[in-house]
Amino acid sequence: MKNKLYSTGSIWKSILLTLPMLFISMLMLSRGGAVLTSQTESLAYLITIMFYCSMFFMMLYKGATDKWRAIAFIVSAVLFSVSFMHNLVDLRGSVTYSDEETMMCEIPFCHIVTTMVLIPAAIKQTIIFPGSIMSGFASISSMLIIVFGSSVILGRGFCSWGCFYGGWDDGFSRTARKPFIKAVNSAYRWFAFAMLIVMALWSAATIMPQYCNWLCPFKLVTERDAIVDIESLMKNIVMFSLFVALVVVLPVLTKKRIQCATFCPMGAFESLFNKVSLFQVKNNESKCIGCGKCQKACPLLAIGKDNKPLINCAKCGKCVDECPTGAMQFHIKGTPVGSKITTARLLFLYPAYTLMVTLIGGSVLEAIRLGLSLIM
Amino acid sequence: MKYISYTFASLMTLAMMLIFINMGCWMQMASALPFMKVDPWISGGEVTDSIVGDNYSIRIHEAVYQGLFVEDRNGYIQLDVNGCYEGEIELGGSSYLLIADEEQLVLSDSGSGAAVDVKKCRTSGGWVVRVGI
Repeated sequence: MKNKLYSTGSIWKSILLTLPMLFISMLMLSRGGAVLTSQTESLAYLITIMFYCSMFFMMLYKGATDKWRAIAFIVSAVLFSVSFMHNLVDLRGSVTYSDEETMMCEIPFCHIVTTMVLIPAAIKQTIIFPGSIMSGFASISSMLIIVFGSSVILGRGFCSWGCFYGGWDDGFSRTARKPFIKAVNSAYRWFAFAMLIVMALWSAATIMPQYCNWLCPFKLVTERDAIVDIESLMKNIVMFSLFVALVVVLPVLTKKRIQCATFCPMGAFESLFNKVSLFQVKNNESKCIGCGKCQKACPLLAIGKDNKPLINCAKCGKCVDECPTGAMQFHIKGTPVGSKITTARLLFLYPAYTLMVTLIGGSVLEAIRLGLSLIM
Repeated sequence: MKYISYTFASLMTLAMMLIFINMGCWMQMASALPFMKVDPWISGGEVTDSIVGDNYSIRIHEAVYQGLFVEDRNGYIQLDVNGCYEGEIELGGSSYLLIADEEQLVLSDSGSGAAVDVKKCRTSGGWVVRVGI
């Protein structure tokens, strides 16, 4: 079914508007031609571009944002994990890291660590993470540039379009047809802000990123501590339990991205960038009938009782899709509310999708290449 | 005002692409920032001394202490040991006996002979050891 408000209405117009994304995908995923060295790599490159561009085309043609974004986002997250873990096995022989990788500062820097390095960076003028500043995969400088650059542009849109973990949470939150737990108090979103403050202070006090050390559930789908003593065993148990509870069980029961909405310090940190980003989701009050569908649909508890998006909105577009009157809409700061809403949506979709394709697309391409090399 | 907003919004795709396309240049600029260095408590600190022989080399790092505002009293000194070595070594005013080869690395107190509990790991070139002080 098409969303008449946002659908381009014509296949040709949708194709025309997808062409810039095709060009961007081809450019950003080509790695200077390095991916076209063999038949398998060329085919993987082609499949990846076709996949991302077809999702983008559907967003334009059907007019629904969240449905097609979610497919691209979930597939990206799963294939990112496959590719990341495969690379680790190739490099180290396992998906666990030992004292050696930590002492040699060879741990890839993940965007969530950003929240824990800021206080020591300001006070001690150092980064408290066992990674490399410039070299290797996911160096500290490259990840900080991506996090701050994309957050200034998209605000918390990073969490719905660029985070390579968010797709897990998003995927599980969509498995049940109806929520088993219907009412989730939106006040729980403040827990993420509490997590941000506690983790930033705890990490600064101990000169160690403690969320990564003890609490990150996504270590299960990337890399984790090798079990060598009681402490590392405890860390693995905590990490596994949190993944099951926050990423699998609670999202299935509530149809909300519980980990992202209530536990991720990075999500809370990204929310602050919603104040500077040009792109917003707004409720056009003149059109709102107060049905509350947006509030029920929002997976991040980011819509208040007055049906207005809150500071932690991740711009996934679900409320925009669900709104029966088109009151919920993408908006560009400094423009009148309710004017040129399709243009505002389109101007947001291009940079947001560029982030997804560029940041996660490379890993998706790698995973597809691995899959193809198994069957070809 | 609204035209400025639309213009900026349409430039954001280009800005997003530039983040990645120009990454090498941004990284150079970022690494020049004063806080862009790994904390010595994590990295092991600067190398301050080295002992080099025919078939071994030992790089001794500065003593590092944990702490945000003030440094903790307890810290460690990191040694990068390459090759085989057996002999005495001075660390933080104390004397230790170090035995290192491809199979093992043992550090003991020169006076009492008691083995010292250290955090160590095998690397491609030898051993990295952190000795508590």
